[in-house]
Amino acid sequence: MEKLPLFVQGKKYVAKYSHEALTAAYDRHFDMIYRICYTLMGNVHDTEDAVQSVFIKLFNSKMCFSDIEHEKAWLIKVAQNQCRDYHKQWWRKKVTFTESTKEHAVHTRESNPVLDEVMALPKNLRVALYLYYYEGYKQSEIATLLGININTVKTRIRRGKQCLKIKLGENMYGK
Amino acid sequence: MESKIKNAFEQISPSNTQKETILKNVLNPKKISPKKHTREKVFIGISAAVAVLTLILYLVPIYPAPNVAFALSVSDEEDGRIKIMDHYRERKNYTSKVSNVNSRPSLEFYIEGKDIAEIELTCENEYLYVVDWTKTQEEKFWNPEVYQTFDEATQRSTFYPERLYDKTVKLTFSKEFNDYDQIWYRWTAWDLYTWAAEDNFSKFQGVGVAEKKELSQKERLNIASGDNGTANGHILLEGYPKEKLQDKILMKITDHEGNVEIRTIYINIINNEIGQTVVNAEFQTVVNAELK
Repeated sequence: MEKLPLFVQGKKYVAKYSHEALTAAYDRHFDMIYRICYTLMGNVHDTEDAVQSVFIKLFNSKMCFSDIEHEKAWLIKVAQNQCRDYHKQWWRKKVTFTESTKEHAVHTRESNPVLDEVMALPKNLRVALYLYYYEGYKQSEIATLLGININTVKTRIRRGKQCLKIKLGENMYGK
Repeated sequence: MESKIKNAFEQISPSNTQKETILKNVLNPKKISPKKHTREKVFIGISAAVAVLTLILYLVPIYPAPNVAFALSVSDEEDGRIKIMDHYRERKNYTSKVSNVNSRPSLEFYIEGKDIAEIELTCENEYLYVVDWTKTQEEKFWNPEVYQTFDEATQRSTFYPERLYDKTVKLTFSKEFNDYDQIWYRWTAWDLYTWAAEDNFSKFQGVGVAEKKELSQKERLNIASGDNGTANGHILLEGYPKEKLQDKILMKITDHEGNVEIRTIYINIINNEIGQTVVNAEFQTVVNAELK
């Protein structure tokens, strides 16, 4: 297993991330955290805000990670909570996804019918699909990461696939 | 199928510029002006809201006389001077009433004004609290650590409502203060929620399932949490005391000269025909003499 070169080896406690340690962690996990936040937020502007907040939390945290996987798992959880908190804010509770934000999101990436349909799924299904198909986590690991029952994970992945199948037809299955 | 989903997620890739910019902000958080950030939040909240319920009191001086510290502006609409900003409607159609679907019944508003010395809000049945982006008021209004604890390892937070909610909130302002609109006032039906959450969320129902009274425990919990991704749990009001479904927020606004204005918001919570919880609110002016 890869060691954390910038951590103080042999110590169980890291007082606070140094700039170097944070930059290294940022390089390791930035893309993943960005994708998770985008998956949950649905537009670039809010995603950038959320990603920034996640790494500021890491910078200020006093967590001791046993390895990179532990660090990664913690960041995934924080990212999820950050996005959830963001949606709790008062204007978001009552704001629907407006045309302008949709437009912004579409213009910042190439159109992809599969991704468009993935982004139209409920958030909890999107995250389960992302962690399972893209990050390659096992269903049991996703259950631990998200703090939910493994059967719920299975249901979410199955339901996500079913929805995509219905919306995209058989083509995505290569038939 | 797996590869197509994977390729789809691969498209959500940040650019190097984004990566560098965010890293700079993370490493130098002081460069981000909190004031600006707060203003952006307020701006986004106001301008982007489509369904937001925001109550605005336009309190600006219209009389130049020095002994009148503030007065209500007269709006050009016919039916009153105070309007509820309602993004479902055009501005010309704002009224002093609003009806808002809300699975966790609450009401949010802010007060715009000038030369206000004190704002005192009181409600009868439920609770009030304040979100203070200016950090000039009581700490619990801007520091979540006062009313909730957070376990970093498990990423779980515990909320202590008794540390935040009050029947009466009173805010005082210096003469130099101008950012009244950056303080948000919230009324929340906490007692109703607590009642509904008893016996494993026994009073929650999903949108459109009002007619289906016999839900399994699992269905009920899923509906209450919105965990099925399709519906938020709404509160079935049947059995809750009718008088407690109504509330009145009394707003007493005092300027630095001691002049007092009183406004009242009447609130009524109902279930609509598809079982959603709806908060109806209406502004009314109270003649000062009524308070004596």
